[in-house]
Amino acid sequence: MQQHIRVKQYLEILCSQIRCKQIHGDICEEIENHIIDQKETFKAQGFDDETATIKAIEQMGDPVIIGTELDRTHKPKPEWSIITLTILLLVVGTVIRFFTSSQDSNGIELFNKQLLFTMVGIGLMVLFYYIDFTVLGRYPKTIFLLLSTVIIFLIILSKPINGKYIYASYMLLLFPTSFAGVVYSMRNKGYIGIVFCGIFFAVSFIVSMIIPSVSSCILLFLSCLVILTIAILKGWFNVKKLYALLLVYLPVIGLLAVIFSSGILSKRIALALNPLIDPTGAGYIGTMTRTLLSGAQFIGQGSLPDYFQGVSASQIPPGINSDLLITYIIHKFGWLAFIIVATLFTVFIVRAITLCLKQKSVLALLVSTAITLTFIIQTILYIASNLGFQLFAPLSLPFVSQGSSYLLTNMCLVGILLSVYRTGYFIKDKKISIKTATNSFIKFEDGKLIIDFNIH
Amino acid sequence: MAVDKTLLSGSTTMLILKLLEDKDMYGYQMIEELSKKSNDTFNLKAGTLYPLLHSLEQQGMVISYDNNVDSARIRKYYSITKKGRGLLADKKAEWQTYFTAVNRVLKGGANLAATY
Repeated sequence: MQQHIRVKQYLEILCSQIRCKQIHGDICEEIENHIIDQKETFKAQGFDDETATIKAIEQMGDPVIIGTELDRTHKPKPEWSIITLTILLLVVGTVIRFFTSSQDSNGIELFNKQLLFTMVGIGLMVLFYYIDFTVLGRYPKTIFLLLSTVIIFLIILSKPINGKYIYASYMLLLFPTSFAGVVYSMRNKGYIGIVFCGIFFAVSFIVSMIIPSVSSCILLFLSCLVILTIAILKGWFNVKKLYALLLVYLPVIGLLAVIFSSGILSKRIALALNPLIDPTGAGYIGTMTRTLLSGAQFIGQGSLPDYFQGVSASQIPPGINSDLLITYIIHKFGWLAFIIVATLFTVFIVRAITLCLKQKSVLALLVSTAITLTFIIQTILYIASNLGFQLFAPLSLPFVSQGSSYLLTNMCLVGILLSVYRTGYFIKDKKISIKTATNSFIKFEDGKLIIDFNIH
Repeated sequence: MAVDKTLLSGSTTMLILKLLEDKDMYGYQMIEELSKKSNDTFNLKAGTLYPLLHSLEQQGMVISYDNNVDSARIRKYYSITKKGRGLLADKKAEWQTYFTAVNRVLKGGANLAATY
């Protein structure tokens, strides 16, 4: 196979000039097709196979020059907007925590610790930025299994704090991203693929229930649902979209119906809307939050009701270094401070969504959507709770709130997100020829369930 | 007749977009078509074509997709976008202006020579 070696050598030299490795396969295929076409033309003109190949390669031109040209076109570009916004949010968080630390007896210690972890977090972000994110699509089950095992070990090894396995709970934020990889691996697997996705979701959901973290359950539920819906709408499972959506949404509606009819949620909603119905019990923190907010100014220090005479806002439970960072900031500096923070988050989220929608490969789309959703849901839960609507306990305000483990987890996630934005454009979903596309064990066509024992 | 390479390079983008305006094509097909349509005047090299196509794709002027309609092999087809059509119109206008100006100078030169 002399010819093949010549073509192979040509392609190797060409690709060695292109730094973005993710695109090598795609380019090789295109150029090889071109050489074959050219060779066939020469053969039709009467040249023998060997001469035709040599002539076809000559016709292509210098591989180093083409490779260099293509390298220039496919240079990975860092997404400066998200990098800048992340750094801005880290700075805002540090400034806010610097203020809150001065109001608390052990505040300085907390501040220094968080500052150190911010540095470690930036290191992690850079590390994940350079890791090829496509491993999520190549080894999805291994990654999912590894993540679940680590969480289960943390549950077994750590002691619960206030009835919660805190250390394991941070890791739950990584589930949606891992789930995106699992969904990606189910291409053309039909309805059975969707059922498998459901099983993976159920495993992560059950783990969240063991912790127990209702907020993580919500985060997982919403993000996995969106990821699965996108995959179905993209025709990823190669089945009728309507039936696939019914397969996903009917159980979801059923589950929600059970939860709503049980009455647990309606009590929580009533309390979240009006914590004053139980001001000293379950509505205590909600009541305090609303008290702090009701006295807030647009700019400047807010006031407290008369019965808090002699007490500063930072001493009001649950304390300034709690999950009510934004509430205290609004009280201390006014609503303008909130508007600034909220604007930064809005810009970050809108930009992240815009970039997700631009992704061409399904893997890049699913992974970036999973991470963006993880940020969005955390932000909404935190801000809602800080504004006095405490339906679910907040997890963290990405890059800003107190808590080093959440910070590190979110920094890893933003690193992966930046990696997707940096190289996602070049990723192509693995090609599957049309023939194998319909090769599935179980098919559902024209209202008939077909089990095909004749597939290879 | 083969023409000076530099004459071709400036207008390659326009020619490629023009080809894609009629139908979606893969790289080799573009070179063939261009050669055929120009009576073998334009002999576009693969080394020029692919970097150009890939950068046009990044700019959103064309999109690519895989297809195996014409052969057993999966080929990468390119299709012009709305933005690409806009660029083509601009390039055509630019070319017209240039072409008219060059012609005017050439003719003017001839007239000038005749008067002396």
